[in-house]
Amino acid sequence: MHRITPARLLVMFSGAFLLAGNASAYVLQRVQLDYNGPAGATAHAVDTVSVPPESALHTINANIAGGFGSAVGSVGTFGDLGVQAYLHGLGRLTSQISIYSDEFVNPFSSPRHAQSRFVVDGGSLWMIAGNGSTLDFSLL
Amino acid sequence: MIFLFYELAIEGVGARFVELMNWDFSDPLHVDGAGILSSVSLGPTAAVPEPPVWVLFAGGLGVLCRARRQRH
Repeated sequence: MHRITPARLLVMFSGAFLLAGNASAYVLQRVQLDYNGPAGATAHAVDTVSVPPESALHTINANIAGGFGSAVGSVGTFGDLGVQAYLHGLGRLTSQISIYSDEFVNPFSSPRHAQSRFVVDGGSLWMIAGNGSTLDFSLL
Repeated sequence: MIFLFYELAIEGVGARFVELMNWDFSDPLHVDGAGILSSVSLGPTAAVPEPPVWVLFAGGLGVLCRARRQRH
């Protein structure tokens, strides 16, 4: 039978701290708007918030405007998002919003089903344009 | 750790001529509502269908009887 000595306790706790590692979470929210028009006309705007290095999430917003039209996109603190864009002329206008988070953990000892709910507060896609024009939507 | 990722991408390409092209998704001026990140919850997993206990019991009894008959 081994005796529990202060030296053994020290080794045990040191090992526990080494095995525990760091508990950290990463959240990234990003809005990106791009316009590429004829004759090299471009417009670009990005807004990003990530924790860390920032201490807390906040609303982000990006917008571009010009003779081609305009676009605005934003993301709220809790991942709520919205985008609006108009293209009046030729070219390619892209609005992209992405959210990544690994801050959630399963504290239970067994596998759990994760779910979340969100509300799409309306939306529309309109296009009257010539052959070869496209309007693509993707939500994944 | 649970990895959560979602992305919205809308792209419009105007070729030849564009009379009208616009899109909107939710309201970019009001994004302070409850989003996905505030409503993540963990629930029980879907139950895996299992045969009733009496079926398992009868099956085991059948295997035992068969083994015993083969021994004699």
